[in-house]
Amino acid sequence: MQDPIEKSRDLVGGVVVMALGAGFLLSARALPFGSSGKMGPGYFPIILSVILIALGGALAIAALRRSSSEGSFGHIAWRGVLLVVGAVIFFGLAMEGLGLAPALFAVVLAAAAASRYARVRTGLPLAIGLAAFCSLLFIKALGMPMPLVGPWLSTEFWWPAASSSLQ
Amino acid sequence: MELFSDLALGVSTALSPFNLLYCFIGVLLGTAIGVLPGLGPVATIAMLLPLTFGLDPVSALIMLAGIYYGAQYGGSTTAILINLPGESSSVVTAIDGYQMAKKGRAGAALATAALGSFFAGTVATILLALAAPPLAAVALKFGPTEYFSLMVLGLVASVALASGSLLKAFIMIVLGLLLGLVGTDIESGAQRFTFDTPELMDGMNFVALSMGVFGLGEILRNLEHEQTRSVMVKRVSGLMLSKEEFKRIIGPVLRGTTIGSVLGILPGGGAMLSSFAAYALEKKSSPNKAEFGQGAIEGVAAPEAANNAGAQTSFIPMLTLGIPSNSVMALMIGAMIIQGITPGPNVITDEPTLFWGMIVSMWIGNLMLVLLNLPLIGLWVRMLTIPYHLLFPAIIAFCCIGAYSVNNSTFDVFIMATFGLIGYGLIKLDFEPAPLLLGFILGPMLEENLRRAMLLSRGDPTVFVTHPISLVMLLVAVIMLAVIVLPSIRAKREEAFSE
Repeated sequence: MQDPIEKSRDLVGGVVVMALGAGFLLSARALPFGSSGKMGPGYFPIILSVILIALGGALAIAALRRSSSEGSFGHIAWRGVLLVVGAVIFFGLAMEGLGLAPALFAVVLAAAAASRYARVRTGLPLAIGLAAFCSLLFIKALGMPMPLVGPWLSTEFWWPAASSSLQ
Repeated sequence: MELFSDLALGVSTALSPFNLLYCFIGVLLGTAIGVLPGLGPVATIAMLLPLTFGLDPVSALIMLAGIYYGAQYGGSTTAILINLPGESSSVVTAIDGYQMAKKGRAGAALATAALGSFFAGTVATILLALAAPPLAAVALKFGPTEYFSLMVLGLVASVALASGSLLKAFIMIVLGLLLGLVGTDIESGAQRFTFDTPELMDGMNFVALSMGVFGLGEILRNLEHEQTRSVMVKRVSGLMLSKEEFKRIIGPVLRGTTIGSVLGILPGGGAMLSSFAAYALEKKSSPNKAEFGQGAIEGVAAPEAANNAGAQTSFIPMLTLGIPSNSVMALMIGAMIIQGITPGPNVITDEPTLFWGMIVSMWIGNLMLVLLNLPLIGLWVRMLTIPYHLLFPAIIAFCCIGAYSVNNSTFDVFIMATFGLIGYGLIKLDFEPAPLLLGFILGPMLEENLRRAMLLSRGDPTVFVTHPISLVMLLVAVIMLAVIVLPSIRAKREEAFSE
């Protein structure tokens, strides 16, 4: 019944929740509170933040009162976190500049590397295939307003003077 | 009879070639993701939402609904054939379904699942058509006081019926409510939690949030313990049930349908809870008790009927009250809002084509699923040979495009990345993220109704207990909470979930 992982996990969870609640409270503090008959924009958020802190505290205390040894959180997929989240952030940063096709190619390649079964032999065709398929589907067929190849890949973007002097 | 003219409208809407096509695409996609473990209806619907913005609202919702109930069919196929439930609602089907398959009765198990689901889907659809209009008529009389109490009841019930820690589920709800408040306060125009970011002024994008938590978070969890799937595809033959088998499934299908229909309506219910409850009941009451776990056909019939009935009837509170009972319904409400439809009791009268079209399309969709699934079983099983390491990069690619295309803004992509991290953190800390989404969708509505109720009562909080309807709803919420907290019933609840 006693899960050794549960204690440290719930303790950390409770503290994190309390910190989140405190963050919300801090941010909502400046908003007018109003009165219960005429609630200001701060009324509901402040009450919710206080409830969140209380619930987080209850979780942490309940964890402390349990008599079990410290445990770990189990395995954390650091490589996955880094590559997957990194790939998504890269897409956000680079899609409009690079264009959908090259950005997706990079995203899929990076994300695929997060798997322990990642091989260049499978990852490369997957990245090319998905970039081509999505470009066709979303830009050509569905007409979504995304650049296929973005301005970063043109020489004018990097050397505007050079291209204008050529004209 | 008004019902018949309404249904006629529904039939003409659902049978239009365009809507038939979207219904078909929906159930096909639903079956596919139902087959694939690691990709659920919540993430799929979130990914596809941006694609439906350009569609007519009726077609869009018909397709999204198809994904949800289609997934119930798909999940059972793999549960039976290879003991790998594609969806959480098919977990119990795998117990006896796979044993039947090992004994060479895979065809009979699949046919039982399909027939049971179809019967349950039909009954639940009729129930939806009959129960929704009177329920909405009652709800139309609700004032802000009743609505506030109804939402509180909904949130409490969704927590009470879910598995896991009660305290943690409440934390998720409150966190979701707070996140739902991000943006401009509609009454005062004040900026809340926006940190002067213009992109946050209209609120946090719920598509990006749900794709982050349910899409990316799930992928990160799956990457922890990756394994290769070895799939042995055997030929499935003998789809016909024997006379004796047919007799044995009638009772379980009827009971499963009843349980599923009731639990589906309740907040927090839906497909998964229904299937667990139906299996537990059969296991206790069946005359063939001894066979359970070794390939009892009842153990396939009851949960499969229940999960489909539950999936269908969970649309009732969503369509009549505008209150989501699970994460999928929360997304459907979000989809309606984006399409410019205000969810609530007015939907039936203001958007009759949408409401009746959806109901009829659900029945047609169920019919399509029966006709589709049995002949295409080989194809679905072959889909399982797609290894996860090729599948998840594709999911990430679709999530990126989906998040970007909601507002054509890269900001939403960053929101999704952030919530991917948060979602994974929640999984690691053993928080079930589903109530977060419910809270997120209900946050603004809850505040608005609380404000209005308190304004009308001039700040007197006792209105919530002096209005009779509101009082009843709050009492039900309190009873539900009391019931779970009481130790004896708590033990039973844990037992029910562990089974």
